[in-house]
Amino acid sequence: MHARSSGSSIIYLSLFIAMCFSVLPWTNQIATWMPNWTLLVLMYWSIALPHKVSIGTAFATGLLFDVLTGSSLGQNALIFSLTTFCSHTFYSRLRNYHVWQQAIFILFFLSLMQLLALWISQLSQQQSIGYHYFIQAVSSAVFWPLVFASLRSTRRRFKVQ
Amino acid sequence: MRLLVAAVISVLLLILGQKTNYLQPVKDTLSLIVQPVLIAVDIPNKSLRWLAENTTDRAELLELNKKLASEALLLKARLQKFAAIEKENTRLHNLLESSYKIGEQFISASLIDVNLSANTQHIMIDKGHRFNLFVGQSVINEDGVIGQIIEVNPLSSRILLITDPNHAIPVEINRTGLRTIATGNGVLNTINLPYLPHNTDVKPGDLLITSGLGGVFPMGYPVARVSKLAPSPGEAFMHAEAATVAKIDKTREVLLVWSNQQPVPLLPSEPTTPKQTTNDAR
Repeated sequence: MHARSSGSSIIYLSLFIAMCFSVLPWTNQIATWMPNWTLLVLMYWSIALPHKVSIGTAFATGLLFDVLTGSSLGQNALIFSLTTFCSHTFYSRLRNYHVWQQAIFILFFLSLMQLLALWISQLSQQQSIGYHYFIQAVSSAVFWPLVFASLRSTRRRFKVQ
Repeated sequence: MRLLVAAVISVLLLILGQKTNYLQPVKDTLSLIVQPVLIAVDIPNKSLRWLAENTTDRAELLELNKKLASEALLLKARLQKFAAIEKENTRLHNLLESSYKIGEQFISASLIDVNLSANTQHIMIDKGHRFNLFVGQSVINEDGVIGQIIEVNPLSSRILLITDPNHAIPVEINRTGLRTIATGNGVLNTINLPYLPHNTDVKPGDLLITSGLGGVFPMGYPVARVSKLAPSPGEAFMHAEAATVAKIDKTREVLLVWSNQQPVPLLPSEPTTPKQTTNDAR
């Protein structure tokens, strides 16, 4: 029982740290190249421990992320829920992939999600579409092995299961 | 099944947030929950500043003190004249029988988060409902206009910068009085002037000030200086850019403005007193 609760707290702590990273005030150029840390961390946990991270967790995280970044309420909630759903569906296959194959999967998936985000934010305000919009998907894929390795060692160290 | 529920709720939230204002309490509560994140992000910055403040030596402090004292003296001297000019201005408006709005109040707030990308240029400050901030309030710093508040939470507020692509600010050219509109373009510290005809009397270096039209920004605050002018053949308007006076990337403190909504009454009695002060000041 004790191990279970500590496992969840590790997951929430990592999500909290990822959110901090996401809103750190970077300069313009770096901000464009910043991966979507929160989504990457959420993805890792929902692939590694699908029974621990439910769609409800993803939805709540997304809502908080919306408030934090000032996007319209529900935008990231939808994206995060969709991401967790896909991870739950494909987790057994994804676990067998090499980490770079997972990164390629993430590249395509996040591009799709960015398109969804663009579509949603276009409802409320004008957005100019450009290649810079998809840089985040690329950088998220590039940083995935790092997130994967560090979270896996965390998971093993604290025996989260 | 769960996905369906989550998706339906998100879409409902999106639609509600778009069309109505019912979600404000929800947003307020959620923003209180994420407040720790903002505080945690601010810790390195705060501690660095604390360290810098506590490790400056005596000589440096003395020098700073001297500098600030002389600056205060200079500003006070200028203010003496300002009072007289304000009186004179009111009197002249009185002669023209038009009412006039002066007098603004400020409080300062510090930045806790910055979000500068090509599509959104927002900053967050550390004051909210508790200080009676309101949506549409204009935000300046010591140099000029920065933006306006678009979201007020209990402990923080979000500011839309004048450089945001979705922001436009009514301005006038200080030298000629020509009124136009400046729009953001997503580039830090620059704004566009898309509605200047080719025969406009405008030069690089001209100061743009808020015109007070539109009712959001009070009149007379500096906004930007015209930096680049280029004719665009075949189009109705020329291509003009201006560099904002307030450098947003170098700001840590901002001022929130309460402008006086009531016009100053036309001086009803003793018209001699302001005249007297004006003459004295000269």
